[in-house]
Amino acid sequence: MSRTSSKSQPRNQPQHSEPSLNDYSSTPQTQESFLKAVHDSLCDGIQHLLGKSTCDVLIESYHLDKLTNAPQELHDQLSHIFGSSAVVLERIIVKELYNTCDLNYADTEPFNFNLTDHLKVARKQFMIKTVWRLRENGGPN
Amino acid sequence: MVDQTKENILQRLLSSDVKADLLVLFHKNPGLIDTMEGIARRIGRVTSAVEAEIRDLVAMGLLKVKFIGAAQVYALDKVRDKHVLDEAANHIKSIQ
Amino acid sequence: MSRLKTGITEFDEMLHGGFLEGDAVMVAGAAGSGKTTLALQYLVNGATKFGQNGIYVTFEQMPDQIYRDAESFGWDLKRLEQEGKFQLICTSPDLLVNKNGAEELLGDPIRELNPKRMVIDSVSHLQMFVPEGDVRREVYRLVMFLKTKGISSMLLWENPQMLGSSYSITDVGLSFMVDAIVALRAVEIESSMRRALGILKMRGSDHDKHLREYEITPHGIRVDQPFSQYEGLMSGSPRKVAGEKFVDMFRSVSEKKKSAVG
Repeated sequence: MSRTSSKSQPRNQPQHSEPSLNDYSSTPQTQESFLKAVHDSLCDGIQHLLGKSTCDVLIESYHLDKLTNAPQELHDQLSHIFGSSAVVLERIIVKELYNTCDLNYADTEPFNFNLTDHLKVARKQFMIKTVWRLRENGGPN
Repeated sequence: MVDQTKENILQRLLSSDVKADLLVLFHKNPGLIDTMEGIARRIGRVTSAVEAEIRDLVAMGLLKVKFIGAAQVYALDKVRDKHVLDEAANHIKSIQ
Repeated sequence: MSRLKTGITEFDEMLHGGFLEGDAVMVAGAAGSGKTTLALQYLVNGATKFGQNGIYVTFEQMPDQIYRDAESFGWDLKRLEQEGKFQLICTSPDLLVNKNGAEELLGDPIRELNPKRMVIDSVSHLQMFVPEGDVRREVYRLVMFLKTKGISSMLLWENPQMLGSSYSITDVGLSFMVDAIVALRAVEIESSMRRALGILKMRGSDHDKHLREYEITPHGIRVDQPFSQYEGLMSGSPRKVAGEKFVDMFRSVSEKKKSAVG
């Protein structure tokens, strides 16, 4: 059976069908909202773990807040600063972000924590919640 | 030249996830005063899992310990906590 | 006699100026009735408007939740803590019921802050840690400790029942131990939920005997007019007073006649 891409199919969806994640996930506003959530979680996580002074240094001197859309770079920079202990801080940041996205953080792979993977999961969940919220409000503007 | 003492402080603060959870708990709730069992319960761990880390935080001076009746309780030493965290921040700034 | 204002204008009017200084006040209500909001507002207003420092002791709610809830009303508790006007203490009730527990737990914060006001949220938690017969003794010990320190206390008590006819302020007989009792209660009137506040007791002072409606607004508790049109609110079966019923009947008949003529 051949598969056709969703883009080639006519957009005559029934009224009550679920909106596709693609319908809304790529809007600049949604992206911006997620990146803000990551930024806030980064700052809150650092502050709650290591205090405001450290948070200020990491933001002003290392510009970590500019790396919210580049998780691998963020991980590399944190590893440069904290060495192997960076993963401890990253876990706290992810917990803060999951809290914002109404997710439960479960330590399923304690030895293979991956910041990029967790941010992907959080992003997907954030987009899904945004889709449902927009749907409840009658669609995107 | 790297300041070994300050580097050690940072390594000790981030030595484990349990310690990180404890630091976050006390920093978010600076007025918390509780037994080891109560603290463990609040971060979803068993007492044995937090015992060593709490003792290390006491040794670092971040937590203070006292007795209420027969119960040994722990609370954040806000002055010492700020001092230690400021030292950690200065170290991070110096390694740039 | 010196009074402690709550800063909630209509409520202070009901109290004829405020609570009496040094009194132990019990605020009783079901979950969600606004006890914590009222207590925080009492402390925040005390610190910001009347120069009286305060301590909030919580057993159940975590401080970060209280900081967040307070922020939603525009109260910056962390800033007040930094300014030395307020302190939020979170602990386990079993520590308080130790011998000398109150002194050992609260002694240092009291010496640091020199508070005039303290909230205990909530004394109903003591029931989990002491036999029922000992709750009165422990609350008495706590109240007397705070009185000897010159601190006016506000003790929160959670009633298990939100609605219904039975309304026991406390089921362990604490009413006589406190100087004032404020009751917060949800009432159903014409199929909608409304909130009623009443001062059930105030030793040594007159007070407004009316039950008043109150709301939890974005800025805290606001106390409104008395429920003058209804009676039986505390019984759980509110009904319009006879005079209001007569007016309703008269209005209904009058409207029917108008529509018949028209």
